[in-house]
Amino acid sequence: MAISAATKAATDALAVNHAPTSVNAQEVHRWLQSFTWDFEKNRTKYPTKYKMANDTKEQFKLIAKEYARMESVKDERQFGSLQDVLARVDAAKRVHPKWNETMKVVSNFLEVGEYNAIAATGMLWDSATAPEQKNGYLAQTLDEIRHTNQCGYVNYYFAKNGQDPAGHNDARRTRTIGPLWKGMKRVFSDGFISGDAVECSINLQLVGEACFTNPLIVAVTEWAAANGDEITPTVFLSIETDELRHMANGYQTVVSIANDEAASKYLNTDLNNAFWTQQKYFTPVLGMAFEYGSHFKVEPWVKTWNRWVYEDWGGIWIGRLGKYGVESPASLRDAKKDAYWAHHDLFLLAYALWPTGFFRLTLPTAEEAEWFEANYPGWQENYGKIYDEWRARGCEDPNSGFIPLMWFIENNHPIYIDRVSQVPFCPSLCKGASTLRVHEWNGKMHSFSDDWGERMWLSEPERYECQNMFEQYEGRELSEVIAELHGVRSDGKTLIAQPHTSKDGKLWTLDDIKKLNCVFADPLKSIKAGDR
Amino acid sequence: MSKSSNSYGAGIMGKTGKAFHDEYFAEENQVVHESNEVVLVLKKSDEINVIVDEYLLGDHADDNKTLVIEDRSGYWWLKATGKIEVDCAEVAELLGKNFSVYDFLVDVSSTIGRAYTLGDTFTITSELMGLDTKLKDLQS
Amino acid sequence: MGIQVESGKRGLTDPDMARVIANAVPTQPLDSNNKMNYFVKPRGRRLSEYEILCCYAQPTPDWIPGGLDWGDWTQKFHGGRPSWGNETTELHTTDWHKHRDPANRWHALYVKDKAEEWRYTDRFLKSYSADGQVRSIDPVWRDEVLNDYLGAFCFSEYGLFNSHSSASRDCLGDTLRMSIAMIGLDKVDNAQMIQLERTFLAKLVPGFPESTDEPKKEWTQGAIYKSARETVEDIWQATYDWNEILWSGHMVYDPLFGQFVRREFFLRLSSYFGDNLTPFFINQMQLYHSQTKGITGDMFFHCLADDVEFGDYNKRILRAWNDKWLPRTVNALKDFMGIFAKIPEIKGVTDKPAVEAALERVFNDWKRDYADPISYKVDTAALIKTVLSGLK
Repeated sequence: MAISAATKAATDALAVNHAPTSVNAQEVHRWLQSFTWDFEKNRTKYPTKYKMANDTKEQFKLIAKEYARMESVKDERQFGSLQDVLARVDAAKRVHPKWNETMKVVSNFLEVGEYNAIAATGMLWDSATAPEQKNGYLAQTLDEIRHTNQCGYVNYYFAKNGQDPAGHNDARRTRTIGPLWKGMKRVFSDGFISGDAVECSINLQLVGEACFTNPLIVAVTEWAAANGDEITPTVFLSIETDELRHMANGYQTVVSIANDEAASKYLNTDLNNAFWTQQKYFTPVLGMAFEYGSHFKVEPWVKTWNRWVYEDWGGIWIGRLGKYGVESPASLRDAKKDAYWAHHDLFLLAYALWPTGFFRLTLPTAEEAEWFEANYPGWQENYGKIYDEWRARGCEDPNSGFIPLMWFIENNHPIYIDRVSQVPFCPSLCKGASTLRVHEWNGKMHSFSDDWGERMWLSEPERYECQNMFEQYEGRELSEVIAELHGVRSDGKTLIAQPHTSKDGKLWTLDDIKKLNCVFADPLKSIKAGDR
Repeated sequence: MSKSSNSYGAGIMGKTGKAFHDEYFAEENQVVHESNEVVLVLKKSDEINVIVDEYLLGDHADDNKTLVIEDRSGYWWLKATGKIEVDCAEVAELLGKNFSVYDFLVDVSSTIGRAYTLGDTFTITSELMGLDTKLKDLQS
Repeated sequence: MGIQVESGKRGLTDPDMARVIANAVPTQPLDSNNKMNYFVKPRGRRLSEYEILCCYAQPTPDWIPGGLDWGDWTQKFHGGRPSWGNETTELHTTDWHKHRDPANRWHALYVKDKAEEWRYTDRFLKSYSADGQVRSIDPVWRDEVLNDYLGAFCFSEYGLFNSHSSASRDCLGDTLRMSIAMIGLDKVDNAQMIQLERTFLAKLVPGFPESTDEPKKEWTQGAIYKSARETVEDIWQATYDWNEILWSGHMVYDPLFGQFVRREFFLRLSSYFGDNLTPFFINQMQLYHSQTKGITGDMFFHCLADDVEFGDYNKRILRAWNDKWLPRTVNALKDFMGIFAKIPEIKGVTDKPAVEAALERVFNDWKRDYADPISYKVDTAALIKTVLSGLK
């Protein structure tokens, strides 16, 4: 067979140059945009009211194999540290007990978000039309598997090597008992995967990741390190090395719709709803985890929030997009109020309901009370004096026969759950942006805590029908619920949850709870539509 | 501590108690304000520490005088006006080993601003890439 | 000491802070059970690390079989469609959490394997080019077959890759979701490896077209991939049941069409045309195929066809899906037979008896590994005869 001109040219070229040649990732990536083709049935299974452009680019130019190499290097470092030096110095037992408890929640709840983001980015990969955009979402799908495994690894590591394995060892089962779980699902699970695909992207990437992962995954590492925990920084800072690509994905979602007419109609509403949805849960829960779940304090939560959420996310992401019609979220004023007060409001309720947790909580000490008052003037008058009263009644001691939930009932401070965010609130005590409003629909009463969630529900009530824990457990005795949902330690009787982290303190058992005869009541049974 | 407006404790962040409360809740601070800054979080590592000390604060200290770098335990926190750029081919020479832009991304923990790669270069910029400025592909 | 820490101080290394922490830590762990996920039923004798890190990450309520949560979804699609629902698939099970990747790959193990393959690919390409091996490739094989037809096969792999998007969104279990995303990534990796090979050839052979224009024209307008393209389009976008998407792609189309094109055409014939490059990439694709086969075999046979309550019902559905997808796949192969008219005939290699023998290997493998486990009756000789009618 005759040698073609091309083969001759190749042979000639080799005669003068035998240099080893390879192909790098970006040389392949530049062809990705041409990998798709038009065909009649090509439409997504997850429609959006926006039209995503066909030429949207990916900012980091990864292909599957280079992605794997990069991630593998990250893993060598991360798991190398955990399995080698941190194991050698017995790091898990050198963490402050309060923080050990905090990581039961933080790592597992972050895992929920990461896990659901696998599905969320699967949906976006389906709905995008530009192959580069699909490629960005796909890498994120794999990242989210990584993060699910990493968060699991933190609980696994603390369970195996730490000071209190209970809760770390079964968080995926016991997390469903208490008042923080359904709100977690709204914000980090269903909020990412159920709705208009672009709306989900805004929730997940533009707000959840670009805004709240910075305090949740970056700032948390400072709090962890201060409290002796080097496990969390090792894992979480490595998680965050993927998040920057996710933030870019969220930004490119906006780029892909920026010139679509629908954007001018809907984008600001979707952005505001997403911002409110995410902040409604993250703002109080993270603030509570940092300030009430630590011994050593890094800075007031409101400052962390002001830096990462207001100044940097607000100014650098949202502010810069102003010329494309993106507006400051209308709910920002209420969100800022929440960032100052809502975590204090939430800790009151979380502590009152402590037996339903899968972690131990601790009342603020006198030194902490002083720190709170210095950073949040008015704290002692609103919260500190209540803790003083609870402590005086022996709330940490199983022999006291007192859990703070009883104080709420005695003093007529009903606790409601916002139907849309599923976040509990006590209208008569809270200083955050929550006030009670009540509607009746489909033969059922619904309570709400704010304008923004109420509006979402009024326009689409069928999206927010989930029953809350008070409706679910109504009429049932507390110890019975805890036992049924596996909230006990390996001896079968001591609760995983405890109202203190004192190493000398007595641990509460199911029997101690049973003696209280605490029966769940649904507060919606005693209110009517229009109540405020 | 640096007095730059880009530093971690600049402006309202240096205030406490009532002074912080009053500025935080001031009427003008109830909407977002456009910012031309970028923020980069670099996870501390053997290579990143060299990049911070010898590249960003060393040979390239004059590239962007607004750049502030602060130690936050597990990570370096960087803030600058405009952009921050890292040429990984040059870093590879500094480190004395192969070091691609994807090796750099191994320890880049967060970005606030538009970040992208092109060839060996990592850039984070306040420009609106893909909207005001086109993203480029590697040329053959 | 105070509770407000100075910037950068760490509890593990600052002596004063470390002392405060040490005084607060209990002398003995507060619970004796230090095994995460101890409540999970292991596939083997003991829980594997993979099961610990993956199982029950899925937060579904107990009305989706296997779920540990209670109640409704906290937010639904517009109109009230649930986040996840039993109605997204025709198949039923007593436990959507039962699946396990036989290789126990969680993310770190998965990317480690692929990273090794990438590093070795880079070294291989350098030695191949320095050695000048490209000179031995037959020009027709290189310029027409590799450029046009291997190039066009990139789109088959890319389309199948995209069929995993909705499946990774809609499936009902955690180990399932992770496996689906991983086998999806392998498919786009295949597509990218094909383009990588073409880019590499363009670097070594002046004038070899790197552009995807010609392959895409072949894929979208040519006769050889016509039925394959139509089948891939239907798997990707015209199928809503996530199990049917996976079944049609991984249990019918790919083990028949994909295996013939990759193994019996490109891999088997390359060496006859002086091509030692293509087998390097195809063998990576074959590795991914075999790993995928382990995963999908576990999903469909171990978990669904053998389910204690729904096994017989599931097998009936799977057989019905075979009835739907097998004829399309046979047509895809029949169209592909046209490729043999484009290459020089090598006796015993590309002639009809050799092609028939290759088809027998593929169909017999499929019958044994995919049809028999669900008691699907198939006349492979008749199917092969239909395919061979496409030989020009």
